[in-house]
Amino acid sequence: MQNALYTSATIVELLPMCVGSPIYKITLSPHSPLQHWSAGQFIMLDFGSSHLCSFARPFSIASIGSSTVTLYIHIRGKETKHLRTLSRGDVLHMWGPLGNSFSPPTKETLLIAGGIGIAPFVTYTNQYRTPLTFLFGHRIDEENYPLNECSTMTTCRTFHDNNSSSLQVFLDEIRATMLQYKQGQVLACGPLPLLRYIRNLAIELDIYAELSLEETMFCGVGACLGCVCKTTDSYSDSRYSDSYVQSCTAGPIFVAHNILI
Amino acid sequence: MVDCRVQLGSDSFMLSLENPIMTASGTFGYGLEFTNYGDIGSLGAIVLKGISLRPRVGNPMPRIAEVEGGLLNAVGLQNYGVEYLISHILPQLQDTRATVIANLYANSVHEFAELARILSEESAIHALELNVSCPNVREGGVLFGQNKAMLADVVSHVTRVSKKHVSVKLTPNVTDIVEMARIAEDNGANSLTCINTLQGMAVDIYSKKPKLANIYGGLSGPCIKPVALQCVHRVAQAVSIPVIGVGGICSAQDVLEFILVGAYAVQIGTATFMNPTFPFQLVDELVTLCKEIGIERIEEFRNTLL
Repeated sequence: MQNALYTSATIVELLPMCVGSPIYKITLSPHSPLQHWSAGQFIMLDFGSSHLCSFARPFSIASIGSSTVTLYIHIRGKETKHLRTLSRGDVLHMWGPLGNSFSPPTKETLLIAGGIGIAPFVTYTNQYRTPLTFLFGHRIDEENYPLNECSTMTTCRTFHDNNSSSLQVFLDEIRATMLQYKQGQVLACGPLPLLRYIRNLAIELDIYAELSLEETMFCGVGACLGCVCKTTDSYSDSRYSDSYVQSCTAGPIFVAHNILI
Repeated sequence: MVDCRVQLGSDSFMLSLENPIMTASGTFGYGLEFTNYGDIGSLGAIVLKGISLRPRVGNPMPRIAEVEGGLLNAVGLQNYGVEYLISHILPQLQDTRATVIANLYANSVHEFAELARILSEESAIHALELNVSCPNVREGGVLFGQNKAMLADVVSHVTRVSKKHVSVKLTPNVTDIVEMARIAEDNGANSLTCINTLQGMAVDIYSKKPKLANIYGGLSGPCIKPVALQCVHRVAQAVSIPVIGVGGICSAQDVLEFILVGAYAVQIGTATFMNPTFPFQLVDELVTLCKEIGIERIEEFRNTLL
């Protein structure tokens, strides 16, 4: 990405989504403004933990204001855990915007997210401000997620999939709804099993789908080759078909037919 | 003013660097990935991702695992092959002022020599680094660096056909790295790069699976710095060609530690993953630290360990 940059950034807001939530909303003010970004792109955020060796983590951009960038972070591992020790005024480092972005809406665009995979759709629905249908599955309570930050023009249908039968309801609904989008497009972000399910449906039903992969990344710039995704022989750039491409630079968004997950 | 220039060698294959900060192969892509984050021409040199005669797909995922103090990787030398490097990447590198070192990987002596012959013709390439030390591929790689006869064979064949400076990147996964260093020197190497990754593994007790698809991988990062320092110190005392130090460098102080034990230059690897601007910053930080402790010429400080 020609416009990516490395910058320090001051935390201007850091709050759990609700009392005791493992998901935090963090708003940072980068000391050099991030420019020319689009929904689906991400940044690498270095939590500045005191480990001798700590790696940044990739996060979807949920919104960029005139001087701020907002992310939603689900605390899961040793780096994100560090978020609990931070507060307003602390300075972190980040680089981005990185990666590609979702295609703009067509007449029929269906959004599907699981859990924290909602983040890029906060910005997508606000960037394009057009009526969209959004299927959202979540394991923990809905109040942990920024559903009300999505554009009011979006019709959100939520599924609390905290057990196998409720998960099945969500999956069945995805299939039934996708069938109505055979002429349109499906955009999805979430955990790998969900994306795999959507990919397989897209191929079975011959529907165009774009998937944003949640792959572990170390550098975010295409150098470490640790976040690669296996491509199929239909991958758009034939030089890289049927091999591996970096999720950070060739993705994180891939056309479902073009990858094996 | 601090004079940071270094000269690797003194003969017709001398490589002059503006400063001792290089990037380690496999951690800096082909250099172009980093042009947003700094001027790659401001670095001493950049070492490209390992290149082979034909494209290599690399190992399956997962390829990288985070461990205490570093990373374990088994990427398996995924690369586009030398033809693509020459047609698509070198023309772009030529437009930068970068001093470019190609890192060569092959399965046979013949292939190594062929690669060296091809890349020797490229004006955008200033030197070659032989990867006889990758622990993550089934054939070639570390096998060449662990076998005395094979190492002698590959280095002598490559240096015979190469028209450029040839550095041999050594593995620490041997009984005596000094012995291998001497063999590389005796067979025509112009410099030595010490060290490649240490072989290691990581496992998950819950899934009972290894954390890398390849099971074993190469360990890098700050946790290997003491091993690397020891290797550089021992090798630098034993050979008369320049040694390039690499292993866990995360600060200007680390750079001076390697130079103190005898390194002419250093390579930055895993630290670049933590911050893509790090190698560029380090050039300035090194000057600042030298001023602070009164070093006027980097070369004066080299090998002055008491």
